[in-house]
Amino acid sequence: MPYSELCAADNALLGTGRGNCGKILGYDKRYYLAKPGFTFASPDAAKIEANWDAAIEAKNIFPFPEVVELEPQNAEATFYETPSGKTFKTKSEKRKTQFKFIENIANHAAMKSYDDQAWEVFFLTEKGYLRGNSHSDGKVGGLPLSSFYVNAQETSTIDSNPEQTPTVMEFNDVNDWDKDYFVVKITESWLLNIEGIYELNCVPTLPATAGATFVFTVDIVTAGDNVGVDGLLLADTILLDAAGVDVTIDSLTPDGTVAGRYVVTATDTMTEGTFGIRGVVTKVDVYYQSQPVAVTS
Amino acid sequence: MKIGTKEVQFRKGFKPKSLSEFTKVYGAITGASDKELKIAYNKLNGNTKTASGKSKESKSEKPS
Repeated sequence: MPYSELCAADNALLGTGRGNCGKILGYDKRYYLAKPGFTFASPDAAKIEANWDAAIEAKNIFPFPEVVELEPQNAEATFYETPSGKTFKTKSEKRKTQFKFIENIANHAAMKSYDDQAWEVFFLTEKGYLRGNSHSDGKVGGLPLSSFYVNAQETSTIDSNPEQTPTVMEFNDVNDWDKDYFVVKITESWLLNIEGIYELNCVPTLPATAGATFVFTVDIVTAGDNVGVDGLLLADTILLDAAGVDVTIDSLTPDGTVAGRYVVTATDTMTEGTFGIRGVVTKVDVYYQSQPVAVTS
Repeated sequence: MKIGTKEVQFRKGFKPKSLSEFTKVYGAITGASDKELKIAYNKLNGNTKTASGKSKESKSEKPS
């Protein structure tokens, strides 16, 4: 028996009564990239701040800054009309949007690191609605993207236009929103103000001292403004030897005078390795991470 | 643990193996005196046995 999935039974007409529902969600003021497959257990779960905090800390959700400009670049469906008057759809419509941000080069570089990878995306609108894609099992996730590009930073112009970061997202299927939408109202401003993970730079200040104990001094500063971060704990840090094996850190001593400066010791005869922040750490409601940096004697 | 003027975070269970190494490393980090370093060494239950099995002098030092 011939088999085809070309004629899916998808012609159900839904009720269009509107009652007293709000009509306008407002423009997308912020968006949050999510790892493909990440979901909240229910629409209500997506309204809980602690669930967002956990998702950010687990690197499942990556908040982007506030949008300053957006431009829909949708492509309409195309049709072929035969001389006999029949019409065939030859290309489905596409939803594509450009968002612009005004951010410094450090934040631009951070955004750029998300370029050209697979993402799903949640939106928060100016009217406080969170929108995304509902799944058949009751879970809710972001709208799947078929492409996501962070374009080159537009530098300032002589008539004072500031630097801008253009990002372009093309959605996988318009029906992920048009039919399988989810919208919840976020009543407070926590989601609008939620922050992503801050990137730290670890900068060894002197060559390490090798011997029975490996000792080095490192400045740990936030990327972009180079402000030292105090209050880190020994458990927040990680030291790997040249072979990439975790080395037990024996002590961490804050300088106490220079902000963000620490002396690290390990009872190990290593002469070189890498040091950084272990995973994602939280200090006073701010998340931090770092890339590993080489430390050598 | 406060050593001299510095607050040193030691990992849980850290026991220094040698007073001379401890003094060399943490003297440079904290600027503490030998006496302060010995007290810290004892508080950390640093190794007090010599290779021959005899107790080191540092064990007799009472923390103040």
